[in-house]
Amino acid sequence: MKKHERMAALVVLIVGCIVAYHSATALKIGSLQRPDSGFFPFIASAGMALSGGWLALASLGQDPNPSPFWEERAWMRPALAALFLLLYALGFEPVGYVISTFLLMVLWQWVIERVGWGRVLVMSLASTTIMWFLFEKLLGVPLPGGFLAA
Amino acid sequence: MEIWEGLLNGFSVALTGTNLLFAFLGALLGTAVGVLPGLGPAATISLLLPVTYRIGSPATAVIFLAGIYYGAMYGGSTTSILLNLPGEAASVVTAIDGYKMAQKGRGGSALAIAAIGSFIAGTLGVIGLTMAGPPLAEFALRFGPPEYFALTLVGLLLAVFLSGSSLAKGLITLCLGLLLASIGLDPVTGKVRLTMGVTNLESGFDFVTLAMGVFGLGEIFYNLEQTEAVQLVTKKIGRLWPSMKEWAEARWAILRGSILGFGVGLLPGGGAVLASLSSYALEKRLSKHPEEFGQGAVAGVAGPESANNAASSASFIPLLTLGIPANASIAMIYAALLIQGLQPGPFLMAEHPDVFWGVIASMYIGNVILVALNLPLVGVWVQLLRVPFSILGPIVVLFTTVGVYSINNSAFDLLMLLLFGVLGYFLRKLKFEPGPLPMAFVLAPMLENALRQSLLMSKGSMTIFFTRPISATLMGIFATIVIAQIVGGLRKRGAARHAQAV
Repeated sequence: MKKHERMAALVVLIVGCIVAYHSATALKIGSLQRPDSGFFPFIASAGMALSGGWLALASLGQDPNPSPFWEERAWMRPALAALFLLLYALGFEPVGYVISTFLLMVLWQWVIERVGWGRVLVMSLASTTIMWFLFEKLLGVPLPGGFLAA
Repeated sequence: MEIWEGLLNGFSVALTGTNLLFAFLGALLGTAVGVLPGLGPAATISLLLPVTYRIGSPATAVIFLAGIYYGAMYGGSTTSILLNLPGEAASVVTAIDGYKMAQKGRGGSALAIAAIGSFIAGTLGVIGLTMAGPPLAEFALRFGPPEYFALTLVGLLLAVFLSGSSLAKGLITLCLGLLLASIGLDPVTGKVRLTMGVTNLESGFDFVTLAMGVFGLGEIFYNLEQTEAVQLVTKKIGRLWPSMKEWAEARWAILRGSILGFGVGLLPGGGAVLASLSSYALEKRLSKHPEEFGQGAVAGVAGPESANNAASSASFIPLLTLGIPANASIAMIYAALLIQGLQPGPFLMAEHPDVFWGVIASMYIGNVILVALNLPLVGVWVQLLRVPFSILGPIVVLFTTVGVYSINNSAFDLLMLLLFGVLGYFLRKLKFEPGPLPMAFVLAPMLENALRQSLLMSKGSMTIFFTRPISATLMGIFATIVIAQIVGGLRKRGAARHAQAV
């Protein structure tokens, strides 16, 4: 864990320093008498950088129980889920709610959950329809029709 | 007298058909969340925040979300006792002795003790809230910017200190929350901050998107990594009523747990988890037979279960009177109030008594609903574990995505949701406590405004926080807790070194 913590801490430290620099130069900190727009972000980012530095120092040295960040291919399912959701977010408005949601459910259950085709189709159809009914009809949220509506 | 009038008014709000229905739905959903491992109360409340946009009345929205929160505390005990599977973090210690009792055929007694203890503690907690809320709200009317700054800062730092995880990691999530809240227009100068040229970010991040990403989607991503399937174990539950001997062992533990839980629940960062852990430690220390703990001690179930319910009631006090959320779940309810156009804090009781008293009254009713839901339906709740994650996960994802889209009808929010989901996943993987993040996010505007106003008032002197009695007292309390933590840590380290040397 120490190695991964150290890497995370360094990322936090670098991000904190960049934002603190930006807050001080581009936004302006102002003075204690008259704080400017960068004052609060500077405090928050400096705090983040300092805490990151502290964590980096605390995680120095050998790991007594080294373990990989992901066991074997454990990253696969979360990575696929994130990829499917990215495609869903990009296609949601142009393709429309019905098709994009149905495809997301099919891909999620077939590729990630590895369930049988029968259940994939039933679950995808049911969840797409129920969610449409709940949001569009009951809560009055206008969901995008996409090219089906055109 | 005012309290009774307010409470009666609250009951007239809570007993309307719609509010009763939402209190019931909240308690039902909360119990289900408590039973199912993998989806905590904070995640569920965040998932349902978009729904509250469409609920017309603020009182109804908060009654519904509060029901989920305290319902989860009840539900968590069922699977802890019967299956050794804590559905949420506050029930982890209940599993130690509760499961042992179930293995010995006393599962029914354990469930009954947990439910009765939860009911008594929950009700005592709400009585405490009824009594302490109004005077505290009145007292908070004296607060100016320096007091609010001190209170918010101390609340946030205590949340980090008491979370029990690494201090550095807690501070990182706290600062990240403050930083994320700074993105967008500066409320004072109107200057655009930290948007990296993205126009959609000029109005800042939406709290619901952040909460649903970090808690909802992040938890789903994390659960996708876990391959262990939940095995349903069917045991003989035994009779659903404790014996006289068991009741005698439980009653003082329930009372102690209620008082301790109430006190801990008031502290920012305290919450139900710390309350149940502290109660277990206290009961073990006070017991004449500490060796029975871990082997099915009645007090090991009664104390922690009472404590976590009392704490969940008590955590509404800082929210409703001071406008400070004590934990991540309460931060979601804070956001729900903001969504409804209400500012949680000392003016809530005076300006919106229907919300203030309606929520409190609904908690009395909710406690009764929960006992009725939990004990007779115990078999149904255990069966709920048969729903596999392969069904539950995609439904939660769909609810999250469509829910986030519904807020602004913007696909950009879906991208932000994904970003926060990935952030939540890595926070969990790297064992960062995510709780301070939403708390800092919702409190950041108040913290920044109070700080800037205080500095303007004092012409740049930081002594303003230490010379005014209330803010100085708050800073003093914080310093005392920090010193106590450091001394406790050093003592522990010293004891460990001594043990190693021996």
